Amino acid sequence: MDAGAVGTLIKKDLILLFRNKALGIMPHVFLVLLIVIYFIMPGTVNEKLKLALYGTNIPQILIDEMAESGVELVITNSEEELNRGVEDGDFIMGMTIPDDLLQRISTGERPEVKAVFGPSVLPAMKKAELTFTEQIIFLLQGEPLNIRVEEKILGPDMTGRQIPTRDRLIPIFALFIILMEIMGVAILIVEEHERGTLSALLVTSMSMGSLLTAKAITGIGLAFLQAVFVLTATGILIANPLILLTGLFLGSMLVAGLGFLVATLGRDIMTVIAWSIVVLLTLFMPAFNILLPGVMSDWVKIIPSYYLTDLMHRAVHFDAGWAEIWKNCVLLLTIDLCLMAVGSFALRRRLA
Amino acid sequence: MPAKTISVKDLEYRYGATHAVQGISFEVAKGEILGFLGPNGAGKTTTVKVLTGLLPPFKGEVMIFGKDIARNTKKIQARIGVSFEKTNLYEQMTAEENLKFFARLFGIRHVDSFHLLERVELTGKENDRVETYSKGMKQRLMMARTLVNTPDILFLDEPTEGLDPVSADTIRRIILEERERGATVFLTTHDMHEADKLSDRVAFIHQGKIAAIDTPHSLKQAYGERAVNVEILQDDGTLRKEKLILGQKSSAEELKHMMEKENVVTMHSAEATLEDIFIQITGRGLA
Repeated sequence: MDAGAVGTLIKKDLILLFRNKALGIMPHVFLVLLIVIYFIMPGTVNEKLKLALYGTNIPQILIDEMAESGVELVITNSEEELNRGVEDGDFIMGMTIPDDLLQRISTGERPEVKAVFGPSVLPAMKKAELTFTEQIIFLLQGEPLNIRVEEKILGPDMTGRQIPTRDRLIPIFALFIILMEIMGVAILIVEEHERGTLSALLVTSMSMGSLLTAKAITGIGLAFLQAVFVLTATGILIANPLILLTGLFLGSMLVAGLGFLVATLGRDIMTVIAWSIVVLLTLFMPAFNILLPGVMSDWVKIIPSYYLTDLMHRAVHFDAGWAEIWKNCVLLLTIDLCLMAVGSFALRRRLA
Repeated sequence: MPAKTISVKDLEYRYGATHAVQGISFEVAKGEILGFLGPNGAGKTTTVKVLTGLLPPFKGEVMIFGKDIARNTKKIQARIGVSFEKTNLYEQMTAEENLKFFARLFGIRHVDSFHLLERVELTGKENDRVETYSKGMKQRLMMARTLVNTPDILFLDEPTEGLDPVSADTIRRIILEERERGATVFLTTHDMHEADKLSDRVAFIHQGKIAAIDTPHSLKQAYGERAVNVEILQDDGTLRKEKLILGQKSSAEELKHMMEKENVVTMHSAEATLEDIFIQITGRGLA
């Protein structure tokens, strides 16, 4: 390995990168855009359920009591206003209570209470919301259900500190930035091959090993620095700096092996982009687990990027320490090294 | 006998089922220019790739500077310069940056890029990006890049292909200057005229085999016709062409008679060109 040649090639790649208007400027615009998106999005989560209620004689005590249990009751002036509010998504449901509700209950009749839901209500939510209706009626009657519910939260209690969507996006942003560099590494190699400069490099004193090392360092470095930049600019890095930097570095190392494999498969820039999209989409799947918890089953664990997203999610949102994430680090490092070995072997055969 | 800089014995190379090079053997002496001639697909570029260490593994023996190229690739590559047929420069870098970059890859920290660019007549353009250069300028810059490590062997693949006469002349001049310096030149071309002008010896490669290897003069003697083509202006103003075969008893008399009695306008020896000889040996042309 010739360190001087490796450094020279890295310097050359960076010079060419910044002279290329598309490849040099676009990623920076993209990084700034991610940061802007982060700050535009709300930084808090509204943990209250908002229900609309229409009817006369709704006692204030009912509104206060429901508010204590995290349900905001909004009294509308008309049934039309209620329906419109539900349809527009301002309320998760609406209820129209007849004026003579209590009177008719007392005479043994079955008065009708209208419940309306938005178009995208899930069946389970509909059922839960109907339970609210029953609870409200009981409260109106002055007869709360005579049961005692013991509440227990398994795992970390996130009551009052739910993760805002923008913070859920941060590990996804970092993953996206890192994964984009897979394409970057593959393009760096295939471009040399396409332009014929690869042969010019390989007839100098530079070895194939030095060449691949230079490309890997460039890709890993760019991925790592860009991800660190976004996490620093959004103020996320200070939450758990050492663990996050370790995670980002190990995640960035994925870029080398996968970039080599994509370069092996790609014949030109277009095929590299096509293969990169396939790889990016696959590696992006574990990120959905952060955005929509529970949508993915255990099979996502076979995707290498799972260990990065999981590490970052836990470090950023649950203050995870080394004891909780060391296994992720070891697995990521092992995967990184295996992919580098396989990618390097395949690429050497392809370029020979 | 000068030292052999390149020694190739029974070299074979296959691309899958294609037998690109089929057991060729030759030697090139120090300071010699060998023209490696053949049509497209004859095996020229494959041979150059093997000789420059770009195509291992292969069958046979290739010794450069007395060392096996397969085992000493990087040591040998440090002492050679290669100019490729296809332009392969970093177009978004300047000429000077290109030269300095490749010099650094050879471990040379301070390269006299101005002198190199002066040799290829590119001074004043050193800070222009290569993408603004014409084809001839790029080819001359490729030649300058080939020289950054002051190589002992130059492998030049079609160095003047498609160039304007000025650029082609510059490159030919540099080839001869390098030979004067003591460098060996392995010149791959299908331009027979160029090979004839530059090469000390030429090798004809056809279908992966060397069909003939010798000096251009010897080849012409061996395969050419010993004759003189004469054009004579007749009384009615028309030209009459005659071929005088040399080496016969009557040749001298006939020539004397022609010069004294006839109005001779032109007289040319009818020696064969390298292209004629190539066709004669291989049964096909170079196109």
